[in-house]
Amino acid sequence: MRKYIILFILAVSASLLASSCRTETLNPESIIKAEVKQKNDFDKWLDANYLNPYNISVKYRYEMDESDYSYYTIPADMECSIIMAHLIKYLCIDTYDEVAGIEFTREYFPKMFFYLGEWEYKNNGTYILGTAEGGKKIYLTGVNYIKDVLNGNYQGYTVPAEGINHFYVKTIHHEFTHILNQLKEYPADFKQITASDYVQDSWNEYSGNLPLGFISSYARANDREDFAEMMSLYVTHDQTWWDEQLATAGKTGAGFITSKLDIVRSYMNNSFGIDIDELRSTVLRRQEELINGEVDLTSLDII
Amino acid sequence: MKNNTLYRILVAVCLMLPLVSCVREEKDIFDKSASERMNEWLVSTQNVLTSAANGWVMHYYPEGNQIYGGYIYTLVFTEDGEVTVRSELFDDPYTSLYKMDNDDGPVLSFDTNNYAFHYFATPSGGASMPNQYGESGRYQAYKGDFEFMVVKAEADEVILRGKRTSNLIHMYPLDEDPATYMSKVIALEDILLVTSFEGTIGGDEATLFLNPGNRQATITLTGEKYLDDEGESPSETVAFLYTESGIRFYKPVEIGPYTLEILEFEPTEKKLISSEADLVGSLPEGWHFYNDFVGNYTLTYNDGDATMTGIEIVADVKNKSYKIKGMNPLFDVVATYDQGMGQIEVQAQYVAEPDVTENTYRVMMAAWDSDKGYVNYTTGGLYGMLNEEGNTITWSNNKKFSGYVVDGFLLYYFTTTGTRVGSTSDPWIWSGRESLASGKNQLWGWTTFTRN
Repeated sequence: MRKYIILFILAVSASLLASSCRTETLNPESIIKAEVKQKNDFDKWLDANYLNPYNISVKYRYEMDESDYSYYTIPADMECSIIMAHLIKYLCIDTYDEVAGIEFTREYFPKMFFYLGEWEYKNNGTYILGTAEGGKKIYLTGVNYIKDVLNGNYQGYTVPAEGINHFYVKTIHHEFTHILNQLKEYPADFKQITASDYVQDSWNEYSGNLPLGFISSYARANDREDFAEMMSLYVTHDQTWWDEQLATAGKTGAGFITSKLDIVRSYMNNSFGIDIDELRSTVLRRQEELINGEVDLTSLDII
Repeated sequence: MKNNTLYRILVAVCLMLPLVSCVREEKDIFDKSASERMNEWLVSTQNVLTSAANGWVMHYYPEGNQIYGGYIYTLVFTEDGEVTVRSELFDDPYTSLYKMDNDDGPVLSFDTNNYAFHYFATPSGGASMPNQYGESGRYQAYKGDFEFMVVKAEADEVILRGKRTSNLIHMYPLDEDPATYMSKVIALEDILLVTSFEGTIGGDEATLFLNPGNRQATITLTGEKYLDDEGESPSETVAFLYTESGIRFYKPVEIGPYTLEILEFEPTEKKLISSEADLVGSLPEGWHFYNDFVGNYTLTYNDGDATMTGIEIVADVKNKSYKIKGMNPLFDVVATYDQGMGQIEVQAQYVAEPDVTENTYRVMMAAWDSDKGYVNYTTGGLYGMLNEEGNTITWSNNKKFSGYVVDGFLLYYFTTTGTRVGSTSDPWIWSGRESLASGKNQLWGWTTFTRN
């Protein structure tokens, strides 16, 4: 009997425990407060030209969370960021809109840009032009040099189009290619063409890449970089330039490069319905228009 | 019996449980959420920053051990997120954006580029890859911060902590226009040229040596009573900066029984003074002003057998460096000014990269001991003493290439990783200089620069 009493008391106590604290109510105010930041004219322009139509965020202000603390770098300059945002819109986003349709751009084009003022220098003398992460975001470094590059006054690139391509636009096509590769794998045959000549991180210690079948010295790093270099260099250069590279490469090298290009061409066509020759002519046309001053790179008017 | 006791305890515990469980939820220590309090703190910090009518003077120190010393900035913050910065290194003010953020605690971030503010944070590549300041060879810049934790924000003082360096950065409200204040700082730097001081601290004998190049001060109590067991005098080295009226150390320096932080400069007697310190400065023999070296010269070399005319020393970074033009049509040679000694110095250095696109080789001007036939491309060089009349610079070994007597320079190819490839027998490097035989890549036996 005593046992039952005890059990009874236990049961009551337990139920008390369960019910005793039910008075709590939720605080209607969230403890997490979003900061309210005033938008400047450039922010509004970005909303109208990147965020609203494409859901692309352009972070031109430095954020610790986005940056890589293993490098020393600086924020982008505001004026240069404005030029850069116009330039990328005109040369890349609008190009893909034109060639593959706005839905393609909306679906695949990276959703975030992070601008940095300087290059990310490594201690071995090389530097990073840009990187892509997880198919979503592109780091763009060296933004503060855009004016010099456009003036044909940076690092020996006297032709502005070549400078723009080398330092920025090629990088975006290059990184965008990585993003597309992450979505759809390219054929393994690509890797086999020059399989034994990839050298990983020591690519910058070698020259004479063309005769070995690599379009650039960086292409020797590995097959993924090779693929992205093929694509980005092809679409940003005209046929004359390409033929010059093939001539320098010699018969064997040119053969390798052409085989690689065939794979790139069919991959882009089959996977995404993009004709890389049409893409190239559009890129080049837009590039010329921009260099000829037909594009206003500083206006923040929202059309 | 044993069981009974156990039951009783059990029952007692059970009865007490409901009692304790209903003590109301823990009282909040703060009446607002963490995020609300953070926002309030950020808003109030921004209010402090924007309410100083003339803005702030910032005592900025890059690098975690302050090895480059400190520099004065003035900052004027606006409510809509703009900041206008002046630095003692540049003439003009520059405007950019700032934000109050809370990524790691309360943070003040200078998040778009400001030419004046980001100088110490701007990295650079190799010799052919200079940054916007024309500097190269600093892939980690000067390790300067542009993001700071806010430690204290009050109307009379703001204390920040650099996110990378953890350096404490102090800001004080200005009671005059920033341009006026900055001109006073620069004027002070122009008159505080003395680097060697002797006198007393609290009546005890002391010396102070300032190294203006890296802005480090060494204070020593020289009195006998302070000698330690090994016969060493207590000595402290600390970073400093120039204020509008003297110098200020990065932090209070404790030496013997004394603490020093701020020293005022008294120009007529060349004294640095505080309530305890009274130190009189003197210049080393043969000391010359930075500008005294600028001008056109003829170089005498080959131990006096050959001359090269048309050499020009051009001012570059005031009180720090010069460019020597006319030695070669393809590059300038960099010389430095040793402010402490008031003399000029030419060190081994990179001078050119023959092919910037390939970026494979660099040309190095190496320190050269022509007697022994040895070179050193990382250190060593020549020290130049200007005579009293100011018309002849006499060159001598700067003794930094130990064991060798440097008497000139030799041009060599190096790879980007610093391996010597060979001499620049290719005459391109000296082309246009008739005074040197074709293919010659050396310029040894420097004796003098004689002013034209």
